[in-house]
Amino acid sequence: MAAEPPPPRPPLRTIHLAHSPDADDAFMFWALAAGKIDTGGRRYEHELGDIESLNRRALQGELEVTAVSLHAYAYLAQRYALLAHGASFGDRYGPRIVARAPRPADPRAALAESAVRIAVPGELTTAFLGLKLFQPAARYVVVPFDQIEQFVMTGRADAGLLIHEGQLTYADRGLHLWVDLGEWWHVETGLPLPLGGNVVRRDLGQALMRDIARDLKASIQYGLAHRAEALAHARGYSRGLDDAGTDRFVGMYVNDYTVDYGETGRRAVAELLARAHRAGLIPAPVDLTFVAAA
Amino acid sequence: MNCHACGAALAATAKFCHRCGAQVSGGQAAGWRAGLPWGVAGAAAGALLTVLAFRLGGSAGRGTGDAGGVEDGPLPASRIPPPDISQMSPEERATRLYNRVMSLHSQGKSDSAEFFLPMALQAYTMLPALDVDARYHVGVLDLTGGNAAAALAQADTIRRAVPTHLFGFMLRARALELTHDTPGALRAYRAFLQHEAAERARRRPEYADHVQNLDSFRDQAKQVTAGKSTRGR
Repeated sequence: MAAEPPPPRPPLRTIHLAHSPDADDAFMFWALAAGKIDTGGRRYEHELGDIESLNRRALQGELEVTAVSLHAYAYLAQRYALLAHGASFGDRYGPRIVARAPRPADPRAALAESAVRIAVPGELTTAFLGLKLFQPAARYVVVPFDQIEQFVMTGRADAGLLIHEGQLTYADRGLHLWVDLGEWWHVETGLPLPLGGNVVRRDLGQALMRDIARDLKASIQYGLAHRAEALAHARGYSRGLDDAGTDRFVGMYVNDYTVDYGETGRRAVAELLARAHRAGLIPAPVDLTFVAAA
Repeated sequence: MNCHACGAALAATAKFCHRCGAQVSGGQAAGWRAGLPWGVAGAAAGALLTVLAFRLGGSAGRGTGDAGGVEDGPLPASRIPPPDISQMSPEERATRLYNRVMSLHSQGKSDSAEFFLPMALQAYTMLPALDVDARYHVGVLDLTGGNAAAALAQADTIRRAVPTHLFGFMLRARALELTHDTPGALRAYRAFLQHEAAERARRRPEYADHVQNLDSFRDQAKQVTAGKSTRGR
């Protein structure tokens, strides 16, 4: 008597996952991209884009899972939930305001002067929100994040708001640190500064959202457990950093909060968005929903 | 579906072009501007100078020769069928709110304009991308709200993308006037005049949308740079 055929396997579900082409994201998503972890019936299609582009694409609901700025999440909360894994926090460090001129005695006052123009990476980035919280009167010009240092060096802006690897390379280019927004935020609140997170579209349903959360957490944990391999992959996205610099940068932004926001991380996000709302920088209070791996 | 007049991409259900105001369906319109309420786009462009004239305390009439646009202003609310907002693209929603703010302001309904201003700015925040025209609208809204610094940011960002774009000079001049930086504003007026012919020869679609505003600004720029300031008249 012939054995019964095995039940048909459910078709693979393709998930479009977008993140920025920088070293910390590359580190986090490496295991997922390289097929190092079992993702069950889910197949991930990776897409790379600068964070401001991803923010705006998320506003249109184009992407099922994407990295976004937490500032942008204020406009996305109805359509997306925050994944509890994969966030980038700066713990006493963060986006940096640098300039050609040496640091003035009072950088906050200097940034309020109309003659000082700051190149910023995008109006939906958390770095920009931090700048506006620090100095609402700051005058800015939007410049692609990877051109900001050059923009400042060539005199087209007086100062620049650096995210990504530029935070570590500005001094090599003769620029001076005026303010570290993560440091300022910590002095203000005692909390780490939440910068970016991953979001999942709510219409995928609770079960699939949780499965995605589990895959993402597993990818981060696998990267941390196989750090040398993950770093080798991340180096391809580290834009001018040497191996030691890549290691340092990944260490800065792939930390305990990345594995899971935890209570402190969640409080930090709530505090950031509450302050933004009180300052009139976002239109409404944000209802935070975190989806965690089961 | 694309607009027959300017080529803008339109929602399948669109009755009017969100960019130029052309009527898309119905066929009874005589001209592209016949498509009220989207014809308000013209009023909005014209309204800018009026709005700024109010803000700057100058003559509302001089240099604001956009009477045509204002005449094409919105119909009484009771005669305008309510649009189906759910069918609008993000661009259409933003443009509609922009037009509303500008129209209300040009009608002197500053409380109502102030009410809709944050909504309009938020609508632009929600766009998938901010092109030069959208940044110009944001800058105008910023000026309407008296936020010169924000308008300057839009002017500078436009200039970074297109160094000789006329909208950058326009926003810059207005914002600097708002901050009483007369020499800076004068430089912006001069830069506008220096680049105007070459820029308009490029026939950028956004210039066609704001032709009356450009003409009015040019007239005013000529007066200001000739030492015939209209202010205080």
